[in-house]
Amino acid sequence: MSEASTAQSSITEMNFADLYERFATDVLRVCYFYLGDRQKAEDVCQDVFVKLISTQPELKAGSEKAWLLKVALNRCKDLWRGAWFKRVVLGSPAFELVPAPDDFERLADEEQMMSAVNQLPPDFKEIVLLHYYQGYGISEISEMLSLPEGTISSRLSRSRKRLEKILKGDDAR
Amino acid sequence: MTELDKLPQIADRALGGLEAGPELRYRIQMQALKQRKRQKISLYATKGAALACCAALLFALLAFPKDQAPMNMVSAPVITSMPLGQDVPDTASDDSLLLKGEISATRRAEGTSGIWEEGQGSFPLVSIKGATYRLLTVPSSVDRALRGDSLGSIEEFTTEPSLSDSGILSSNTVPAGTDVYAVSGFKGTFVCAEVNGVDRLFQRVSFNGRATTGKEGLQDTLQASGHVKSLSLTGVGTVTDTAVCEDLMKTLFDSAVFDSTSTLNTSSTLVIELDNGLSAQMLVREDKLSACGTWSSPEFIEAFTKAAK
Repeated sequence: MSEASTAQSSITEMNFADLYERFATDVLRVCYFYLGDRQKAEDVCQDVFVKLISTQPELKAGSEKAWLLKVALNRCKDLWRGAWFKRVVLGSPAFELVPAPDDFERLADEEQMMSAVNQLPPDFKEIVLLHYYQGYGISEISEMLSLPEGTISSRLSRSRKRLEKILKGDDAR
Repeated sequence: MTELDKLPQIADRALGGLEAGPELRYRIQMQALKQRKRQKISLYATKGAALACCAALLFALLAFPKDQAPMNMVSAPVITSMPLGQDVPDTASDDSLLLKGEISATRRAEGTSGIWEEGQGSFPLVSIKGATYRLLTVPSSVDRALRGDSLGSIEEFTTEPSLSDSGILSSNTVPAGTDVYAVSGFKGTFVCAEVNGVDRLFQRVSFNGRATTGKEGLQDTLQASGHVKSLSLTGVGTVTDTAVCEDLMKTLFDSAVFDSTSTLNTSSTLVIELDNGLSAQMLVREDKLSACGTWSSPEFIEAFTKAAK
């Protein structure tokens, strides 16, 4: 059977370790980007991988990361909607970045962009994160979120406009 | 936007110190192990319970003569409620949510076509397991033929402004024990219930910081696709071609993005006239529309303006 085949696999201890090694940091960063709370991001990352182990989903080779991100974003959205998040996270200090030790000098220039993305409404933020941060195409996102491609394109376009407003400081929200 | 194209590099630099390390991995493995153990225990418990139930059922069938068998118990459907938006602070005064005075659902302002019942400025509501419906001024009665499935009966009559939060059917308008029904073809959008001897219509709305439940979207709170006779938008016009109306509703449902749990303060409305004689109404300002929460859809406003011309 070729490597690129559509062979499906269930999750064993060994490939859990492999999947964790390859994708856990991405999942954690996307969750943190979405939620702005490190502890919650770790909790979501944990939930996602526990779900992977316990439900043993049949995943096509190459689609594992998309599955992990999809589950993670759904969980983030649930949390964002939840009363806890409204009370605790939005009332806490501003989005905190976690830079690598040698990158402090660039932080100021980039903080604004990170913060602007973080301020987007959930439906926009997840698409921006999947497209611009994780590099997924419109059709892939459409499949992941079960939404028409037109909706994804439209939301991306509206996200860009909203980001411009936020960055200019005249967001009307 | 050029900056957005650099997002992976920006994010990787900004979050470079955030790594999923061995500690998190250990936590995941421990949690998965615990869960597996719980599932095993639960499986044994389920098997045990199933055997016990079989034994109890056998006993019951033997114990009751055929014509005295107990009625089947049907459990009520459970909807998981997910609060949206800011919770009302504990310190909020009742007065800010519900004006004082007797709630009178039968009083309405003559000659108005507003979405809300005008009875003394109060909010006549029905709450069904996390979803709130508000009494409409128009129509003042609903044909019984439109009654759909029974959703249960009001378990608690309360004058508390936030109604009961215990997931039961409650109302400050419909008396306890009164049955509440879905409206045929519009489950999720309307319910009807008898108030002072007349079947009245209630439309799904956002109330007290709560709009949708679970993973609902606009369509779940406004099931009108395929039933729309006309659409009227204040200051823009009316569309009466049903096929165009259906396209416009599809555009609305596909493009609407949840904005907030609040309701717009505006006199502009989108009236959705349905083919069963009822009308649903959304409040409109710029590209935002609200009934059950506020939704943003510039695509719909643009398409409507084009269609109305």
